[in-house]
Amino acid sequence: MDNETRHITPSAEAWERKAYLGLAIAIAVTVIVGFGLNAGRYNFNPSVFPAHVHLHGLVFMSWVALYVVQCVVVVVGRVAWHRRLGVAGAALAVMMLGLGLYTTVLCLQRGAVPPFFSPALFLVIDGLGIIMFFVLVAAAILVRQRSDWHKRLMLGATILVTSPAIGRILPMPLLGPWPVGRFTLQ
Amino acid sequence: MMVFLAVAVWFDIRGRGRVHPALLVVGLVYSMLQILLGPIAGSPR
Repeated sequence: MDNETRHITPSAEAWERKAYLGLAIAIAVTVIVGFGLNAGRYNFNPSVFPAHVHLHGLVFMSWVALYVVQCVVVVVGRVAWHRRLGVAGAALAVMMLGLGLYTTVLCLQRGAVPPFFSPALFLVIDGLGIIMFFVLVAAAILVRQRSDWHKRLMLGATILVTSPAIGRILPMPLLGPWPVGRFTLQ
Repeated sequence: MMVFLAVAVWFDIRGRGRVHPALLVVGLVYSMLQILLGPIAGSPR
């Protein structure tokens, strides 16, 4: 047991696990609402998107779903399942890094950048965001024996990949050029 | 994003009485991204 875990009682730790599950559900709802609103607003037609965009969406949504499942598994005390599913999570994170960067570059190539972003800003926001997501996931895996560090770094990583969903909820075109960099990260 | 992080900070304060250093690391990463994005967001298209 590390220094930080010693500070809390078992009941406080159980509460913390449930609180993180609540946060995971809130993140999943945000992602569903964000992309759902976007689909409704722009008369969504999936056939216009290239296959890699669908794969990108599937893999990123799988991460959010797996994050919720992992929190549930921890709350019910199935740590062995959590570890087994964690291997799938690590594989998903590698796929997300590759697909995230690939999709960003291809969006730039086909001019599919939202009008309120400059191409440079879009490249940096998406590129740096996914790289930092991967760095936080890698750090969380390295410290997986220390559950207090592991859960917080995984949360930090998952919050980072929710920014496209949050961007679809916020009225981005109305925020003007200055806040774009700020609000997409908030 | 910062709303979710703020909720996690509140969890720490409620459960531990202080913010866990791992959340400070996450906050540092987010701040670093903001600092890097600032000049690009302000530059002409």
